[in-house]
Amino acid sequence: MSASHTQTVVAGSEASVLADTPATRNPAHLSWAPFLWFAPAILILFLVTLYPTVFVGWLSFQKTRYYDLTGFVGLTNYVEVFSSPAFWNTVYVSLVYVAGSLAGAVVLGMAAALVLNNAGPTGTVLRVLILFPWTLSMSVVGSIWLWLLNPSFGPIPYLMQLTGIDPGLMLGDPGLALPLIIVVTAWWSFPYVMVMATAAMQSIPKELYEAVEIDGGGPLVKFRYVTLTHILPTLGSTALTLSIMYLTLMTLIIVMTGGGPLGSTTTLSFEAFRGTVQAVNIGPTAVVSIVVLLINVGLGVVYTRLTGRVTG
Amino acid sequence: MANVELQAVKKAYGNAPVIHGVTVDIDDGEFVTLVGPSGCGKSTLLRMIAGLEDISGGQIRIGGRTVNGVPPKERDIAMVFQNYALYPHMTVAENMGFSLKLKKASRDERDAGVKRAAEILSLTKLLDRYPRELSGGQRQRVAMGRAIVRDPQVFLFDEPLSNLDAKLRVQMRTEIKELHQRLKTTTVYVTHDQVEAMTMADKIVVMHDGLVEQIGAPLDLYNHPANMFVAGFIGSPAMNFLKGRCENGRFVLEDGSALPLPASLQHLSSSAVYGVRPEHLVRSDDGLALTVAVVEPTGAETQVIARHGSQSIVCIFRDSELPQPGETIRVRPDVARVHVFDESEGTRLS
Repeated sequence: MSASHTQTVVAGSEASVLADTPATRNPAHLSWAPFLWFAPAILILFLVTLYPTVFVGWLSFQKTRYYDLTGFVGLTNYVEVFSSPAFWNTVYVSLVYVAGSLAGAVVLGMAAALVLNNAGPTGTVLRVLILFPWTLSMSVVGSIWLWLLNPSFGPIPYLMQLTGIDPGLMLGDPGLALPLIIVVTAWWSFPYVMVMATAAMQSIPKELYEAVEIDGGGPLVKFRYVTLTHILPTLGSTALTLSIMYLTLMTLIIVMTGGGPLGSTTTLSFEAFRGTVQAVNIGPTAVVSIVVLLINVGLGVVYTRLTGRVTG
Repeated sequence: MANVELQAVKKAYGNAPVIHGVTVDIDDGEFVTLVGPSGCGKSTLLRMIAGLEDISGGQIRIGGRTVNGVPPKERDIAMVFQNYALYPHMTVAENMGFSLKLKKASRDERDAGVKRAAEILSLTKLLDRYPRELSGGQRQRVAMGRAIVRDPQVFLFDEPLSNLDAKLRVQMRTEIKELHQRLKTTTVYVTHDQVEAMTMADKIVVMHDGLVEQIGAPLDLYNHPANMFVAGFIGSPAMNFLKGRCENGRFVLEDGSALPLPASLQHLSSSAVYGVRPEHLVRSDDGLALTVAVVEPTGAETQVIARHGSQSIVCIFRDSELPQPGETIRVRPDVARVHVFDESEGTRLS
């Protein structure tokens, strides 16, 4: 059998090679087998990801009364959402939240990485300690900060009073609530940036720094031309993962502000959550979810491009 | 260009000394290799000349100026690293011109410097490429280009050819030597490969355990090694060492067979080590009997690994008649090129 197979290959006749392959000898069995192997994965993917997503998409064209569907309404939900100033305010809050948290986390994470990377064994110990916030449950983080920032008995307003600053209502102040949530989000997530940046920094050959020294550059040149350029791809993909996470994150907001005061911390994801729980008609809420989904898919595409460029 | 003087240079990491006082004078325009086995301190010494390592003791002077404590960029040196250390996100031209950019040289000045170096190293066609698009040899040339652009007083090379394949290594060796003959810049070159050291250097510094074993021209070290370490390190394949005694004007091995001694050593009467290079053994009917173990023909010559009792002896023959494994051959050393070493100190007696 193997000899005849070889002969057909040598003869170069494609048809005879195909005729001799096992696939065509038992088509019924073999055409199904690959699908069978894939079935569990596809089934799980469908149940866990695809079905809910498609369902939300379908829901965005429906009108509901609590959990009862009352009928197809076409683009009415979209028109309602996109023409509402509250929605655009939510989009604005989301973008400020994502951009602010990201800026805070990246700056803090980079600073921690740079300092601890040059601190030897002490740095290693400190890195483990700094990772602590990242390992906490987000509701615990929210509760800790709720206490820290409490205008009546929290230590932070107390310290502010001691230094002569009027702490005001803290999270109760519509102008201050979002910045404070941003600070807490950055505090919670900067260790992730630190870990990723440290890993990238440790892969930089030390000869590059020595080459800069000999070429006549100081610490700034080393940072700008060696460290930063080396870790930028890692930093970029870390920032994108974090953006996607921030955009869907709402535990902190639920625990700390409940979206208030006066909607000043209502992000798109929080709005989607609130609508699902409270609204009579879930249709518009589904539209908000779709918006979040589309933004995240967009970020995901950028992320794939970026990592593709890094690895490929 | 400048001379480099190392005076009793020491290096210690904490309480662990790694270089125990090295004194070397490198003349203006000279090509000096620091050679020795791994961990002998040669790279550390080079990095101290570059200013990348602190000096724990002694003095380093470049062009008459003491540079202990002077940062690398002010030493007017250029260094080529083993792994090239090219900036990965910069093109070849940007890599080569980076030091000029940091010096705030004008664009024209920078371009002229890069162009000149690129022409010397035939890199002109590669100037717009990135390091990742280059082969190992090309990268090494770019690293050399980066050094040339700076027009330094001293070139420092830290095992620059170790990452290249054997053929390319030989080719780049020639290129570096030609480059030196053309630019005549003082060069300090670190390698663990004694062939590289022999073929390239005007002067070789053989190091071992943080000490200088011998300094000299390549053939000086080959013909007159100061001790057994240098004798064994310089020359390939390595020198054969045989233990025994000098007695009655002859060298008597442990099994009683005798080897001739040079006239100047015939008066000796003590335990010693007899050293003879594989290429200085000739076949002779009245010679020492050896049993052939392995025959390795390389075309021009044949390396024969043979045994005399428990002792392994390597011979190199240039004649076409190859002995067979198991065969007994008789060899005689060229008595004029025999070395005798003190058994305990390892220093050369002849």
